[in-house]
Amino acid sequence: MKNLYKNPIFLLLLFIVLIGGYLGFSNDLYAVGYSSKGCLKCHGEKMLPKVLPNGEKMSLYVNPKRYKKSVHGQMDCIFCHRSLDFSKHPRPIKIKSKEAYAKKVCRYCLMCHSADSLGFFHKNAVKGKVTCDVCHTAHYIKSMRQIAKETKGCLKCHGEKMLPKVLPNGEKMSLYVNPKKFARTNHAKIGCFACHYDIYNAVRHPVPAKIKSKEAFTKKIVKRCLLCHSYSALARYKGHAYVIKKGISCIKCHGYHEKPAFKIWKRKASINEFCLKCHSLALTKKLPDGEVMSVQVKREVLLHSVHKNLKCTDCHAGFSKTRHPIYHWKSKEEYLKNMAKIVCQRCHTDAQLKKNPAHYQLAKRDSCIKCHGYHNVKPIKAVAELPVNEYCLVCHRGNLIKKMENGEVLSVQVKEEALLHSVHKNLKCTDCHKGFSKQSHPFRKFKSIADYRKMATKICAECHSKEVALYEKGAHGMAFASGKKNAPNCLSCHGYHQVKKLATAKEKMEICVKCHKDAFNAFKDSVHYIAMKKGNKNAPACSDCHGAHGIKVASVADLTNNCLKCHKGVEVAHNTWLYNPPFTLTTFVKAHFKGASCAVCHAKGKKAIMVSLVKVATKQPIKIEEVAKVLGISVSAVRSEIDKNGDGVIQGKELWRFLNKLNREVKVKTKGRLVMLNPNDAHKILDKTHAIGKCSVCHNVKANFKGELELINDKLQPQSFTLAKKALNSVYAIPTLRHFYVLTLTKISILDLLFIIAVIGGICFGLGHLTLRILTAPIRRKRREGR
Amino acid sequence: MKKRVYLHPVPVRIWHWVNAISFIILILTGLQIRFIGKTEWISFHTAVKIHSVFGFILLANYLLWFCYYFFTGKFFKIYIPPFWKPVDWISGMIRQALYYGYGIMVGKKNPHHPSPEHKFNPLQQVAYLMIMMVCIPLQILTGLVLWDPVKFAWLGKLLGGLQVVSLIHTGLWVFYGFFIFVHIYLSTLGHTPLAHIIAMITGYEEEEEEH
Repeated sequence: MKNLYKNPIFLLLLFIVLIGGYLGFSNDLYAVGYSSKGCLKCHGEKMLPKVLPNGEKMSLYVNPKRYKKSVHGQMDCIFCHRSLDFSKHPRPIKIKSKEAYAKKVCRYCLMCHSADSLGFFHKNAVKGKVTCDVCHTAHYIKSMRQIAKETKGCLKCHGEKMLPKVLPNGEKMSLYVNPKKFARTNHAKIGCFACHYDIYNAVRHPVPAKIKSKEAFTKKIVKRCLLCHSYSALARYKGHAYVIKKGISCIKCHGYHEKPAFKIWKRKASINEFCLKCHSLALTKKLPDGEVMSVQVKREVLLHSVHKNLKCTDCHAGFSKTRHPIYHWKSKEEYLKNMAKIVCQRCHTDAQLKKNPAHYQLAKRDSCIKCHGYHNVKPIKAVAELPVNEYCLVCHRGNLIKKMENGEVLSVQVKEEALLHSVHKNLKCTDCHKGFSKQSHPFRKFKSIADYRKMATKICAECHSKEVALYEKGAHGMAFASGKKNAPNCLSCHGYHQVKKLATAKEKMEICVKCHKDAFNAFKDSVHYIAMKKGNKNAPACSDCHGAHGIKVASVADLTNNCLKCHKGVEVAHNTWLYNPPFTLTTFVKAHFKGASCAVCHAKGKKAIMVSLVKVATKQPIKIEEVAKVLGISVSAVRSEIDKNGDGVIQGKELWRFLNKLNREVKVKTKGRLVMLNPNDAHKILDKTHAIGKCSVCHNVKANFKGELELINDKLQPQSFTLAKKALNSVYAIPTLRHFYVLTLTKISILDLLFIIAVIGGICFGLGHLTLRILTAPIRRKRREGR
Repeated sequence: MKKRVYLHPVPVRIWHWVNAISFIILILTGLQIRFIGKTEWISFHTAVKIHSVFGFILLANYLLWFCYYFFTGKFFKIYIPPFWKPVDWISGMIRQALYYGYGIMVGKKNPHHPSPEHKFNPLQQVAYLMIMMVCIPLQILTGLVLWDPVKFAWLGKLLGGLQVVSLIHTGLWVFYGFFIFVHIYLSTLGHTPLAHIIAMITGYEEEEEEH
């Protein structure tokens, strides 16, 4: 094989092949006799454009003069248009689209201008994303020298300060470019043509170009940035990619015409300037929980903050011109909390914060940012100048808590929105929170939340004395005073700071329902609730019957009177059938209203005779604890004290004996009423057509009404003792239930027996006497006869 | 020979019979009211209506009696026993009691001879005084309280409470249950069984003249 090159025949054959190959190729190019001159004979004439299948119009005209001036002026057309079949030309060739043809031709550009020889900004062209003609034009390609020369030509006019161009929308657009400053930019070498190639390539310039608005023009130009600066290169930095995606114009950061190269600027810029370059834009960050957080930093805000002299990196440790870590917090809340922890508390140490315990506690529970802001960190002096309410809210709008001595935790956060919607919106915080001011913030100690709330009631009483006085006498007030944990006070119904006047029946009811769910469930069946649902403005809420502030326990409350507040004229209405012949007096109706609750006749459910004990001196119900105290026994022993035989039912004698004993210590009187056995049934007021109208339902010896003795405890919970049916019909009921009598129902049964005995006695007297008279008739006869 | 004494003037006779009818109706309706549920020969509502109406008739009738006896001044002569002469009064009562218990059996004469001024024997005098001045007024007053416990609340309170009022009213009802039979029986003890009853119709009492 090595000897092959020495063989003269092989060498001859090789020569023939090489010569033949060369001649064959040359024939292909020149044999047909096509040169640029020849091409321009036709294409140098202005002719109608070629219409492509996609409808595009493709000009086939080449200006011979301009072509000759271009760097390719000495080259024949076929050098680039190699794909043409010259044997068939000028028969039209098939061109799908302008872009497709440009791509085809550009492949040949890269054969001479190799990818390595092109600058990095030609990356897109190399990848085939951009065709060369877009920047360089198809036929009039300039050399760098020509570009520099022509740029000078542009700046001849645009380097002079001239009147701005007035756009159709009225904007004024300066056309001035400072030549010196432009010469220092990165783009000076590539000249105006790199960006303004459309103007540059236009033959008509300086005929004014049509520009709708600055924004439209900017958009158009900025698109061209990406021709050279490929997106993949720009998106290397996540933040930068985000900025591009968001559509923030390149020139917003990088400027145009006069800005120095970014690398130079980056080196020279201060860190704050560097950060703000991007962060002064309306940038946002989407957190994993879906919240969108602004990461914009307003320059003017920063300049007015107490941190204006700090560097961004003083707080945002880990960041630099070359490093931009990303925080991975899930939510805004977490973001605020952690930022405060790692940023603020680096300088503002625990030791410093502890000087103000409230502030320390707040800092530990909430984010500093919530009060002090992100970048607009307020100086303390500025806070002190705020109006008093805003001053308080600086801290109290945060998630503050107060710990009680017993370990209970109370939120002392004040929601500004709630405050603004309250009826107290025009009051100052210090109007209620006496002793507090901008200068003074006492730290008080409370045993429990209940202890704290006691004070709240006193605060309310300063303005609302009448309501508080009623409340204190009412069931809620008494339960609260006795220390019942869930007993409501002013705050429970009216709220802490969102103090509201409960105006509508629905609003009022919703408050009560929070605790009295069973009552509400029963109320749902009533005509009152149906009326409320229908939107009847006169439909009653709970407070219309039970009172709003002076709520009384059912056993002592005169609920009937509350019914009559709305149901005016019902006495007369009832009098049509409930009257005392031979007259018709409303007092007879009143007697019934007094002895029975309206619900007894107007609601569905079992009835009961309820006996309660009221202290003569105060007219208030005696509590079971008081009973135990005066009798010198424990509360649990009261039941066995009443029910001596322990059968679970109080007999008449037992009640009488108990009351006698109790009366020796404290004067009490019994109060009897017909009520619903289950108090909740009293809420089920039915339509009047379903009401009881038959007297003998109650006035009946066989009426199955359960007797109950009710005593309330300190927590105002009623304690029931079952009364034997006979207890209310025994002679013992005469002294024990002196003021309560329901015809027939509570009659003293023994009198019936006495009546029978009396009748029999009367008859026997007559018969006896008559018998004696008959028996003694002979004596009288003898006497008359004188014997 | 029998003599006729005009004992019962018209107003007294009217009063008596109205009173008698009212009493019977009130006792019976009272009975129905108390035993409703166990027996119902008239409805509770009707029983109460009748009871109330006759209660007022009784009241009006009582006022008629009261006005008659007080304005004529007969009340003091007829109804007031001679308690200022206690020996005579008590011995009179004993005599009368002995008569009813013994004398009437053995054919002794009635120690009391009625006259327009001394209509009642000593026992009758005490009994009727009590009935007319205590029992009926109490029955009417307690009846009024039970009829309208609100209008007459003051009275109820004065009498010691509704239960006490009811006790009095019912207690007297028990008493009348006894009294009405005794009264009817005693009315047959005239010189003929119907003598006193006829006298209450005609006004004239026939009495055998003593020689």
